[in-house]
Amino acid sequence: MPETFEIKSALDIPAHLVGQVQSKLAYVDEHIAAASISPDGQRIQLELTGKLESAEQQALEAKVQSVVEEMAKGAVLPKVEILEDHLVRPTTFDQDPMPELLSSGEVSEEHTGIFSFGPLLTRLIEVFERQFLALADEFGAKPHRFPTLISAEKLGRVQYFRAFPHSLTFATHLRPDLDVINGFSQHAAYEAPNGLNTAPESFSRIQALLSPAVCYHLYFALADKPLPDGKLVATAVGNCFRYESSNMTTLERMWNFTMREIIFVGPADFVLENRERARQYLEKAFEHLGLAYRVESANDPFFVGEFRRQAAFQNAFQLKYELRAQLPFKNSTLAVGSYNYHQDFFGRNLDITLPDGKPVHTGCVAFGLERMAFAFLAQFGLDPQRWPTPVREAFNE
Amino acid sequence: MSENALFDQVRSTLAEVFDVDSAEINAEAQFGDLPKWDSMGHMDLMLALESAFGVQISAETISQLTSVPAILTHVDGLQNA
Repeated sequence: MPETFEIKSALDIPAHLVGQVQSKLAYVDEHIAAASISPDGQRIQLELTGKLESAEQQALEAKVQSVVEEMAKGAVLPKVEILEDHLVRPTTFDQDPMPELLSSGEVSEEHTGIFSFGPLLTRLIEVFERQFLALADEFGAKPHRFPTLISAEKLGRVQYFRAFPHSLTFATHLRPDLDVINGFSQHAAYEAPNGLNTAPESFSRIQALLSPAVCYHLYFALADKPLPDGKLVATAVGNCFRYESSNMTTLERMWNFTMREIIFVGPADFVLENRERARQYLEKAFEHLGLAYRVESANDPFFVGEFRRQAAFQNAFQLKYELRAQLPFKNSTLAVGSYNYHQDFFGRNLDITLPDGKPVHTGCVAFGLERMAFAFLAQFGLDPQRWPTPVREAFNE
Repeated sequence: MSENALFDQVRSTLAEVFDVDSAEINAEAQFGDLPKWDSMGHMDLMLALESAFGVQISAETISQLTSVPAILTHVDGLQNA
């Protein structure tokens, strides 16, 4: 029986922030196994990993209240702009596909947030990949391949550590020292539930991380020089890593996922026009596939200290729109893709310039392939006979 | 408030938020001209303007106030409303 702990929020959490605050509570304290906020934003229910002493409980409550205050106090009510609304499109399934995916062996959970897929999901993902590659062709996007590791130095240059510290995944290795390596090989063991029994000082300082996004690699490759021809369209698919703490429970939030991106670099009007053209192209593609979804204004999941200002800025300047697919089994939606405009943020921070010397603007269209497939299965089930004909035919090709 | 007095107050607010000398801020300054006038700096500026002039800046307006002339026009309009 899990321990639960209810907190009366020091200030009412506005309805538009309930989801955002709730997701951040997973990072407040290692004792929190799950968190939920009442619809009126007044009560916070925490599920704890074990019983806490009174002093620990008070410290936990203080941390929770500070997060609520930091994120909600003086929050600007966002403009909600809906560019497309196809949520009422007919679907044929209303169950959670996850139990069947697990029981059939189509999905296996290697570790929390780490999943392997069988042939059905793999082929379904390829169906969606073909749509995105067709879009990339439409724009004459040049293909790129990027590493799974990403430079700590470069991520620091684009202020990633300040904005998204909570979701980082670090890469390290044993220090190149004979005693350390021999000691590890003789004594290393996984001790559940704590992990490897290796002392932290055996590991090297962090020079690289596991990549949180695909397009950053392109911007890093273009850094510190003028952009040849003044504009560029590129595409790549890659592994991405975002640690989601206790939020990682199903394919909705995976630690390791793959993202396909179409990336635009050039003057502002070039980026904005192409972002819009991509959205219009995909609107037709998703209609053909029968997906039920909505495209609406959104913001990135900035951490607590940066959240209020950065989210308000993104909203005010309409920098991000999410494609949120219907999940009929929970009467909710899941972000499966996004249309992003970064203004000249990467151009300025990485010194990528246009022929006139001004910083480039950038934008991207990004889709999480596993989430796309999961949302599709949540709408149409695992039996291809119940899928929309174009998807079934593409699946069988 | 006279036009000059309003400009002086807006300029001193920008100088304080972006940690520069007032003399570095001209009447045409805009988003991106000063090293700290970026996305985070812009939101700091909006809060500072609200506090300095006792006005409320809406989400709809934040994206329009990206230059000194736009800020002057908007603050003047709110104060005289």
